[in-house]
Formats: sequence, C-alpha cells, structure tokens
Amino acid sequence: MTLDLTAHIKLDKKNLRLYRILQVIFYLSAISLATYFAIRILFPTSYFIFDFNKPFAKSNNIYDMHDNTKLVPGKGILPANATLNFNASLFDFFSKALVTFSLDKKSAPLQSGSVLVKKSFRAFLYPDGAIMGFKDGTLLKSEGNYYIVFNGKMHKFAKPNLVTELGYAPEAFREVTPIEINYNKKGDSITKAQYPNKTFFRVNDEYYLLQSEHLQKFISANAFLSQYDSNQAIVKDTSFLSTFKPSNNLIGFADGSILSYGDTIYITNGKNILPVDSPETFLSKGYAWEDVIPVSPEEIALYVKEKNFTIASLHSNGTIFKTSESGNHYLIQDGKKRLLPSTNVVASWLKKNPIMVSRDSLSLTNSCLLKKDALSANSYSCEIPIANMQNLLGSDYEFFAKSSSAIQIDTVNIEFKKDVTRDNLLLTLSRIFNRVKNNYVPTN
Amino acid sequence: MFPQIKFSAGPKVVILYKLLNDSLLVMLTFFMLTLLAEGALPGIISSHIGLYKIVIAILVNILAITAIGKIIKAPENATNKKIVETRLIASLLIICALLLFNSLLKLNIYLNIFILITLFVISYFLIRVFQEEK
Repeated sequence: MTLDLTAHIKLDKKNLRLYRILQVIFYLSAISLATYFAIRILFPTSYFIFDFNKPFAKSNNIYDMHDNTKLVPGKGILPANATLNFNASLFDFFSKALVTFSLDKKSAPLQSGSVLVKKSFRAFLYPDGAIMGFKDGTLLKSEGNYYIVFNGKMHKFAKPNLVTELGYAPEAFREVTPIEINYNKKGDSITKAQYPNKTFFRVNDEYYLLQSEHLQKFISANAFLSQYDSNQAIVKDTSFLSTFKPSNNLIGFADGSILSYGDTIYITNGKNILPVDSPETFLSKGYAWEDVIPVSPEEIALYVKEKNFTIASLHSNGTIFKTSESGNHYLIQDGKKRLLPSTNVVASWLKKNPIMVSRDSLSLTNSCLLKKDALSANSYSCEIPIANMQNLLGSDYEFFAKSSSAIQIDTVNIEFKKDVTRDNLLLTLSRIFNRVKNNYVPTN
Repeated sequence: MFPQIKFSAGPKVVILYKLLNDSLLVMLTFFMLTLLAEGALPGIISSHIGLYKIVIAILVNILAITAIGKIIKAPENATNKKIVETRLIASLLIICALLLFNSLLKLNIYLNIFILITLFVISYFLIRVFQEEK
C-alpha cells in the first residue's frame, strides 16, 4: 500500500518518480516542521518587553521598571552608573535569560554595562524593615505578669487580678520570655478595671472589637478567626452590646486571606479583593488550597473587587513568608519585609500556611556583561545562565542593569529559554501532566 | 484499474496538484491533533502557533487544489468516494464527540452523555431530512 491520495490521477513513469521524490521531501519537511513545533512546545521560550516610548502600554509585560529614583526613567534616559531595576514573572523554569537593550538613535553608545538577576517572590525581595513585634490584640504573660498589645505597644495589667476581673480567659494569655516582651514598645499600664482597646468579645458566636469605646463587629466568625484565636475573645451576653456605642464599620478578614465565592478565588488586600486569574497562578504564588475560606455573599460584598491577581502581582500586605532553609518568618508590610523574631510572635500573626521561600534567593545572583549585537547598530545584549536558580522558590526574576555611560533606551527585551535536555523535557512533561490533573481530576 | 486520463496541463502541474492533496492531508491531521490538544489543555498549542494560521493555510490549500483541479480537469475518484467519506465522517464524529464531551466536562457525566447522544440523534435526523429527495 502506498500513500497516494490521488492514485486515480496517473502519471507516466518519469513523472511518477519525480512525484515520489517530491513526496518524500514533502513528508520529511512536514516531520521536521512538526518536530520543530514539538520542541517549541516542550522547550518553550518566554518573551518579555518594555517600551519606554509607551511606558503604560498593556503590551509591556516587564513590570516595576524603575531607576534609583523609584520612577520609570523618562524617555528611557538612564544616567551613568544608575541602576535600572525591572521584573519578569514566569510559571515555568528556564535555563537562560537573554536580555537585550535597544537604544534610541539619539543615544550615546553603551561603553560597558552589566545585568544581574535574582529569583524569588517580588515581595520577599523587598528591603528589610524593623523587626516585627506581637500583633495588636495579642494576650501575653511573662514572669507572672499579664500583657495586652494594642497600638503596637505592650501594655501591662498593673494587677494580675484585673485580668480575671475583666473576664479574660487566663489560658488565652500566651507564655513568653521577658526578651519577647521587649519586641513591642512599652505602653502605659492598665490600672483600672476598664476594657483596653483591642479587646475582643464574643456574643452569640458573633465577634466584636473594642476600639476607641466603640464596638466594631466582625463580618463573621471566620473573619475573626482569620486574624485571632477564639479564646482571645471574652464571652458576653447580648445585654453587653448596649454598654458601648456600636460602630457601623464591619471588620473583614486578615490581609492576605484567601476567599472563595462561586468559582472564583480572591486574595484580600485591605478593603479590596483580587480575583486569582488561574489555578496555576494560585499554586505558583505559593498558596495552599487548604487555606481557602468559602465565604457568603455578605462577606464578599464587604470588599471592592480589584483587577485580577496574576503571576506578576505582588503578594499583598499581611503575607507571611517562611524560608525553607532556616524556618525564619517574614511579614510583608507597606513595601518592607519584617522579620518575626520568635515562634510566639509568629503564632500571633500566622493563622494559615506561610508562603515558602528560599533564603538563598537573597544571596544567589547571576550576571552577564552587555555586548553590542553584531546584527543591530543600537542593540546590546547578554545571556544570563539561570539554570542554577531552578530550585529557588518563587516566580519572579528581578533584574538590575547598570551602564557606565549615560544612555537612552527605547526597549528592553528579555527572552527566557530552555536548554534541550532530558531534565527540562521531564520538567515540561510533569507540568503538562499536572495541568491535565488540575483540569480533569476532581480535588475532592 | 484506473482509466488513463489525458490532462490539459503539463505533468508538473499535475504533480503540484497531487502534492497539494498530500499537504492538505498533513495539515488536516495537524489541525485535528491541535484541536484535540487544545481541548485537553487550552493554550498548549495556541500560545505558540495561532490556530487561525493553520486554518488560513488549509483554506489557501483547498483553494489552490480547486483552482488547479479545474485547470487539469481532474476527475473525482468515484470508486473510493463512498469509503473515504464514511471513514472521514466516522473519524470526524469521534473527534467532535470528544471535543463536545470535553467542553461539557463540568456537567454531571450522565447529563453530558445524554446531551451528546441527543445532539447526535438530532443531527442524524436533520441530515436525513436534508438528504431526502424531492
């Protein structure tokens, strides 16, 4: 049997031979083309771009482009020795990154320059902030003394019997060392049998917070439990509610909580919620399915829906990272990464799984020296090997580029490439398998 | 077995016609596999190659086959037509069923199967109605 779809159209011997030869060439070309596409799919290349002529264009998928002034360099003008900082976020592992700078025609040539890269989650690469103390509302005891934290300060109950007099459950006070007490600044002592700020109450399974003599209600018990332990609340009956002025503001979930409503998962950030765009993003950002809290329409209505949470999005305030090597915990707050110095401090903040990160992400860097491209007059590029960063946890690559001379950049391009190796093939196949599993195998 | 056909164009055009038929088979196979892969894992192919490019290539190919077929006055392969059609329709129906089943995956499996069977039964009778001779 021969593969001839047009066998009814006969050719003479000479032309049939020519046809067969051309047919073989065609099928070999088709197989080669299919192999090429298979390689492109199994060993993909990811492209990223930033155009300084259109800095706010949606096509720019290099994020957080800034220089030493923390702003996007106007018209792409980078002063000599200034550092240009930018980020690219990826789902996949890659072997190398080709970074290309296309300079403006008016730009002076680049004398010498380098590019350095780090890999982690962008929020974990934030600068270090001050060491974090206990969370507001935490109840502590040390050497027989009782304390409550509010306004970031440690307030001591002047007399231990005040605690029982006010109705606090003694077991709610966490035993800590005297050193840990000093993680928060010292506040005024509580001398009277009056409820201090940040006292929690439970009335018929509803939780309230006392703040400036107003009782603020938590939207739900789950909202309270996303921030505090249930024994931190003093149990009261409904008549208690008339003791203080009610507040119209409802309190929601802890920052960085993962809520599910309908088919969508949201990450909370202050008064906003960000819908997660895909299960891949959810997992790549280090979140765990077991931390997802199903919520009611009333709970979701408390928030303003923001744009999607994508692979390039930053972890929100309140996110806690844990280093896989040392087990240190860090809290993300207002663009700073703050160390939680002890397990007790961690316990006061951590109510769900932390996001695992690699401590080595902060120290492991790869770099390359920019060279002029042979084929283009104004392009400079270099290739950074990043295969040794495969085991680092995180989805963001942060680049730091420097030029010894002042330059004007038109575009920055990054190409993440995979080497054609057995390991990379297995990695890609396992990712495809996981995607199939996520799509087709029910999770419960 | 086949009647010797006299072509009005030169043999080179006939060879081109035969090669275009071969390429149509290859492209249709590739397109079918692409659709199946896309159905299973959306984006796995389309993030690398635009599906519209394959469709345009197939359309251009069909147009070229039609145009050259007219030039060379190529006859239809009447003896094999029925077998090819039956095989083609059977394989297309299987692919269609797979894609439909996949698109309704989140539904209850029995409802999914019920919708599929109903759809095929309705399609079968519709085709019968259209094929009825007046």
